[in-house]
Amino acid sequence: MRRIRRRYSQRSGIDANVDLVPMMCLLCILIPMLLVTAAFEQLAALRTHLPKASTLAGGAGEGAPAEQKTPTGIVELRVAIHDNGLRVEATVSHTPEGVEKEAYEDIYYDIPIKGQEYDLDRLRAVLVDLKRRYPRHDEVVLLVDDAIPYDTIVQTMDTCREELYAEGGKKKRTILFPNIALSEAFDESKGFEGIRKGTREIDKRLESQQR
Amino acid sequence: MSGAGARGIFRALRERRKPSDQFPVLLTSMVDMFTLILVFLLISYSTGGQLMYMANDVVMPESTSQDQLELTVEVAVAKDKVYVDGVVVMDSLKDWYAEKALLIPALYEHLKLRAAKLKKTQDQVPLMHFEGKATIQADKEIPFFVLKKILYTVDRADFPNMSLAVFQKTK
Repeated sequence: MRRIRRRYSQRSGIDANVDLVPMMCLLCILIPMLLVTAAFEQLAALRTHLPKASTLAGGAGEGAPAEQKTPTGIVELRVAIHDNGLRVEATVSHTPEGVEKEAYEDIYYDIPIKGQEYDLDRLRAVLVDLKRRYPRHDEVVLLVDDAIPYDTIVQTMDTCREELYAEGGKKKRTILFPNIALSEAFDESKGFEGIRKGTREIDKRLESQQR
Repeated sequence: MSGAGARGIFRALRERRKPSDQFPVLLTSMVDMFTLILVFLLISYSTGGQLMYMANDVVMPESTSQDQLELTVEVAVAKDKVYVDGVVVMDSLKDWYAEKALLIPALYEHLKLRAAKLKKTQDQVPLMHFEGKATIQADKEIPFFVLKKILYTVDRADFPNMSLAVFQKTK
């Protein structure tokens, strides 16, 4: 090829080489710009909130009372993260067929820790089963022990929120309980350990400063 | 071979060996490489996303969530520091580890002032709506007893709609 080009250029007196310098200039500008603006780590958001007053039994949370909603069959769904494992607690008001029960029924699932890790696969199986029976329910309250690291909380939130699976070589996701509230785990006999300190003094000071 | 003929051949060889004034640099292989890099970068380029103040000492956990981050007030919680929009608000968070009170006054004051400013802006700018949204980026090793104080304080300072910033899982 090179020989043909040389022969052609020798015969015609025209330089047959493609001038690559302008293309190099363009690439030298484009590549640093793309490298600087490239995002190799994608960020995402996990929506959460604190539980409302009526979300937890005994009025443990704060905030406005919950709105009147059509019953989903589950009054409260709680997933507790303890040092020794997970516990799913569901207070059920209706049967999966929609028949109202005479009294609320509590269902418990204890999922002990497996080696050094939480058994999230089993938690997923329990939640998928609950979602199948009560498809309209979308709320869950995570009750977390004080020593639990944030990473474990996020992994548990992921498990509560959605189920990921492969079907026909494609990744699919089913939404389970996306409305997640975070709360501290509590022992009803002991009450809350955290002290809810008032903000009135600080608010008054800030108001006077702003004036 | 006559002497004149041999001299002619030697002269021709000498002329051939004489270095030229121009040194052509072969750019073809470099252009090939650059084109490959360009294609790779263009494929992985994302036009979406949200700029965030990333605190150096915060390693966020990974999640399967695909929700986009929004432009909100950003609270970053490192092991011993708390930042609001990149500014250090507390540099001795460990002092609060033993404290039983859930509210952290220094953080509360800062956020409350920020909420007041945003509400004031909302009154002046008709298109802006203050929805009480905050994004929390916390180190993945932070225990929940620290995180719950941050969540409680952010909630009380008029930011009840919280989002936890996470890295998207690649697998």
